[in-house]
Formats: sequence, C-alpha cells, structure tokens
Amino acid sequence: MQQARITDNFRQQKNFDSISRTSRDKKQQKAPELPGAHGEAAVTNYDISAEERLLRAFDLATQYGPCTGMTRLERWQRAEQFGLNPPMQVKELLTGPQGEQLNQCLWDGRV
Amino acid sequence: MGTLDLERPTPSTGQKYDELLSMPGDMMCAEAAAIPRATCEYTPRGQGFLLGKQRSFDRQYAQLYFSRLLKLRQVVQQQVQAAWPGTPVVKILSVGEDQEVAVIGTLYKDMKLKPSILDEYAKQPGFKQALGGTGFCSDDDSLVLEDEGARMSMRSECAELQPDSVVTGVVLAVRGRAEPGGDFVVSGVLWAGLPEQPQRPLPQEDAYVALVSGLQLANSKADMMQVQLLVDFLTGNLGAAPQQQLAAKVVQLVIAGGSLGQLEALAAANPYSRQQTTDMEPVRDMDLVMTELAAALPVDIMPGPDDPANASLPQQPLHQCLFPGAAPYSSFRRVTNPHAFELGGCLLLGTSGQNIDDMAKYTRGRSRLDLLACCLQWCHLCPTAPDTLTCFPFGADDPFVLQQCPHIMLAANQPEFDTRLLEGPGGASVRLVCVPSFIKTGTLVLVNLRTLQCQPLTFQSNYTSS
Repeated sequence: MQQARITDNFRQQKNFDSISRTSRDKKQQKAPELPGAHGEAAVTNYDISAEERLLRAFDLATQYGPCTGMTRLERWQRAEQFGLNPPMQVKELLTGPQGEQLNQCLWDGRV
Repeated sequence: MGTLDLERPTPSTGQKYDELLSMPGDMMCAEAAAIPRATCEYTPRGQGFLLGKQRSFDRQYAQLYFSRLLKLRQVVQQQVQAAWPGTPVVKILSVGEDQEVAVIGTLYKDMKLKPSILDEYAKQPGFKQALGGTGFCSDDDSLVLEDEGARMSMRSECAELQPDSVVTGVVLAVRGRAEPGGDFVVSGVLWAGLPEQPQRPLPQEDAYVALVSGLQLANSKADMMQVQLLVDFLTGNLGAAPQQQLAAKVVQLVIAGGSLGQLEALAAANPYSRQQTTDMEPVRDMDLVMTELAAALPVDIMPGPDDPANASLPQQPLHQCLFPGAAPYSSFRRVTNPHAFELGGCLLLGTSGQNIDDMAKYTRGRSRLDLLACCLQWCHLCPTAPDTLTCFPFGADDPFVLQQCPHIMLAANQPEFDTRLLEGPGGASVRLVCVPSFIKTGTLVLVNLRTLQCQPLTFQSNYTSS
C-alpha cells in the first residue's frame, strides 16, 4: 500500500477559474438580467407595468407623507385614517392577487 | 416659589398628648380600630405607549413627523378659522409674496450649539464640547417652518414666537407674509391649545394620589432610613392617628421613575465574580421596598432616565424578573413612561421627566413648570422627540399627541417641587406638578383628588446639629 501523504489532500493543480477569461469567453457569458421593478437593477422606466407605474405615482405623492420604511398598504391605510382620501384603485391593486409583489415601495432595496 | 396653593395638613385635635404619648394599656382595647384604606377605581389609559413584540427600528423619523403634523393640523386649523377668519390657510409651496396668509407646519429651531453627530467627524473639537451639556441656546438661533412639501425660514415680529421660548417639533400656525428675500415675516402665531377635558365626577371625600420619584436606590448616597420612613408612612406604620388617617386616604402610589438609577458597580464587575452578587444588592433592596408597598396599597412603577429599561421613549415597563417579591401582587403594576391612567374619573398623565429636562436645555428663561404648561398648550407631550430625545420610530401614529386634557399632569425627577393650577378654555383646569427627586429633597407629593390641591411631605432622617 502506498503511503498516503498529507500533501495528497492539497490540490496541486492550478485553479483555472481564477485566470482571466479571453475575449472569446467573455462573449459567451450569460446575458444580464432584464431590470426588474425593485432592487439594484431597477433603473429605467420602460420595463415596469402600468400598475407599478400607478403605485409609484402614489409613492411619490407628498400629500400622503414619506413612503420609505412602510409598505404601500400601511401608507394607504394611514392616509385614509387621516382623512386624505387616497385613491381606491391603489388599495384594490394592493389587496388583489398581486398584492404581495406590489406592496414594497419604490425605494425598497435601493435606499 | 412664591405662594403655592398647597393644602395644609389637618390641624391636630387639640389634645396635649396623642395616643403615642399616653399610658399603654388603655389603647389596647377596641378603640384602636383598624382604619380601612380608601379605594378608587383604576382604569389604565396608556395603551398607546405599549409597544408590541415586533419592533422594527429601520423606519425613518420622517414618518413620525408626518403623523404628528396630520394629527395636529386639524386641531390647529379650527383655531385658525376661529381666530383669523379672513386669512386663507395655504401650504408652504403656495405662499406668495403679495398677501397675508396663514401656514400650518412643524417648527424647527436651528441652533448652532446643538450637539450634532457630525461633530464627531470634525477635525477640530471647537467650543461646543467645552460648553458641556448645560444649555444649547445662543442668540442667533433661527426658526424654520416645515410641512410635508417644503420648508421656509421665518423672521418673527411677534412676541409669542421667539426662539428662546420654543422648541423643535411643535405644530403651529403662523400668519404673515413672505418677504422678497425669502423669509416669512410672522405677525401672529397660534398653537394647538389644550385638548378637550372630560368632566370628572367629584368624589365625596378626600382621596389622595401619592407621587414620588428618584429614589435612586443604586446610588451610594441613597439614605435608606429616608426611604424606610416613606414606606412606613404609606403603609400606616408612622405617626399617630392623624397621620394614619391621612395615609389611609392615599388610594394610589405612583413611583415616577428613577427608583433604581444606574448600577455603576455592575458595569465594571466581572460577570463571573462573586462581587456581582453584592453589586446587585440595590435591585434586591428595590424589590423589598416594592413588596412592602405593594402589600399595603396599589403601586404603579414607571421606568426613569437611568433605570434598567429601554432608553428611547416610550420606555417599556420594567421587567418582572427585577421584582420577584412584588410581582405576584395584583396591586403592583409595572407601567410605561409616559403613563396615563384614570382614578375614579380623574385623568392623570405623567412622565419621568425626560421630556421636560430635554426642553429645558433648548429654551431659555422658562421654568420647568412653564415648560409643562407649554406641553399642554402645544398639545404634545414631548415635542423634542425624536430630534434630541430618542424615540421609537412610529409609522402610522404619534402616541405623544394629547387626545384629552388630563386633570393632573406631572413631570418627575425635577430639581425642586413646584405646582400650579392651569385654567384652560371651556372650564378645564389642570393641576401641574413637578415632582422632585427623592434622593435630593426627600419629598413625597400628595394630590387631593377632590380639590386638586397638593400637599408635599418631606421626610428627613439627618439630624445634624444646626
């Protein structure tokens, strides 16, 4: 039986992953993800839906107060409690089937 | 202090010797009957100050300011419509330069001596640190009004709105016109005013609520004899029949913060050493005192500035594990700071003094009692929160806005005792009390629930020759 050496546990091969890719390899990398509605990738307006656009307008309306730190539904409920008559359409969107995805405000994950 | 309208103790019966100085034996018969303690119905009213288990601290304070402005704007608007009928009320963004308008917003006081976190990064310390924490007012403080859209700086030509007498965070209405330079020149100001006071039923007989604060049992200078005299008085073990009858009329004791103080020795102690057991002695002393009191009368204990509770307002009740002896009593209630409750229809609202202490640093020329009256005038318990007073970041509500005017309002842990009866519109009358720190003055304050008069009692155990 050949004696096992402690150095057998160490990889002696060079780690090829750390070598910089050639330009050919770079072109074959995965295409970047399309910007979503939230998070760091959301930079442009073109890819968001009409509902999201409406909810962003609700976020930026100063008469209902600041929008960071609260979910949109909480902010809507607070606006109603203070008698500011927030639009019902916003509430319907937030309590509808897509409510969970649309509940975070515009700046969530970006600020 | 001038002439305070204090209640004098009831005069003695005129006997030359009371039962303490008479022969024993005669008094052992049924004449020495037990004196029953008066009772009063207690209803807690401070549910808004209790925070739930889920407390999220990542919200910003802008939400709290917005809630405060919205809640008080309606009240201030009614005042404006009553006092200045012809003046239009506009938002800051719509203030023009041609006409006189009224604007409602939150006040911000720009003070250059206010300690700012940015100073820690400044290259030179400057003389802010040299001044210390005594006062941050200077002669060039300026006032800014803010609402949800914009802010504008103000120049006041009105005597009621001077930088020295106001603090940041107050919601008010100002009337004036905008100058071409950009400043808004103020000619009149309106505060939210006292909220509505519910009618209170007058009790038939005298009943007292006892207020004490600042026992500071962890402080090495605390006089245990003085504290024991206080406990003995309240439990009816001190004095002769007149004192016992007075003690029997006390229906509620409120210990408004500062009962433990800072356990300095504990901070330095090794967690595994035997010394820690001795350093925790003050906590056991506090529990013993509370057990004796809770066995005799209902006690409400509030946390104070240095007590082992959270530092931000509203302070949550002290934990049950600090009171293994007293907690089983149903008469012992651990409550929040600020605390609001109702005793037989009489509404009491009190804090352990952090709000008044903070306001005193940012104003000049106002006594502590004046500041307490201002809190009522401004309809807000601690307007400087969250600017200079740490506060929980509330989102949908501001629980410090006063909804109802209390009958008794107190601020504890103050340097000296002071009291005044404040008369408000609509027949409202509020007893304002500054409860002094017990370790400094040895004073217990009794407030009569029938007449709303105060009776301070001082306990002294120090008989040096003088």
